Amino acid sequence: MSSIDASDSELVRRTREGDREAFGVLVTRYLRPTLAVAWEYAPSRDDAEDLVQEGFHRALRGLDGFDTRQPFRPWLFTIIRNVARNAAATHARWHSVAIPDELPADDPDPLDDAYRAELRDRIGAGLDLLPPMQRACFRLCDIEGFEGNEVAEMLGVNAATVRTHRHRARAALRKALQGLNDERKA
Amino acid sequence: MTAHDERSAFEARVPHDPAYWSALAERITRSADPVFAELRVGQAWWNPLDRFGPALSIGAIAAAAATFVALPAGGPAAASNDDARPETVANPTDLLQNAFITPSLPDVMTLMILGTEE
Repeated sequence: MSSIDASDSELVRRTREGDREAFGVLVTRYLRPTLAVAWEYAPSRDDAEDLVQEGFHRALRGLDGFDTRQPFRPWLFTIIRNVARNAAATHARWHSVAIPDELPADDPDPLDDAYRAELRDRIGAGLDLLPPMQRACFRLCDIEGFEGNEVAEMLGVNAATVRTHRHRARAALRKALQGLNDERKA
Repeated sequence: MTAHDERSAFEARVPHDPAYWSALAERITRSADPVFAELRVGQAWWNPLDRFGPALSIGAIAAAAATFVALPAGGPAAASNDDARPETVANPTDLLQNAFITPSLPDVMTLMILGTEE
């Protein structure tokens, strides 16, 4: 069986024996969701990358204590969240939310561009005001495209909790955007 | 405002470029080299046996069961009396036996007799 197709527990076993390739496959397999989670705590992608790197190193150090009868993914996400929380607690500036500076301009209409820029700003401001868990659930599901069950695992909560937070986040954002929508219609 | 409008207003910030992910994975994997080295130093010699854990456990149980079955009826106490007796009894008149099983060196006569028999 090639490393790419190997199960998590097989890769964990091989990594424990010092197999760097197996570790690399684990990193590749979980890099995108771990970065997405880390970015919920960090203000920039660079900071999120550093968190993910630190998280994988901690996971590697802790593999001897990991019970291979348990699933690897939740264990890894717990480590990533703990690393990110600890870092956020020591960096006051991390409490702000990073908002993308540029958005794709699919529609060249300047009026639409202005509308989209305003929309982006308001969503950004609305996201800032959301409680962290609502913001994370909304962003990971509705913007990053992760499945609800996956996000539940990434954030260490159950799927129903994710649905509730998404619902509340959407309601809050709709309310924040209502004025803009009315202005556009007028 | 529809959900679609909300989604289209924000581009996913997690990159989609495969080259980005390859480079990041490579960076993280390579940066783990010192951690691997650190773990190898502290690794116990029996750690690699971990992969054979289930087989070794089954073997140990089978060996214990076989030992138990092989014990004579009556248990260890019964075995300690009769079975502890040597199968062969030293016979002082058997020169050949004496030559091999006695702790002392055979005398010259014994060696001569054994040599004659050949």
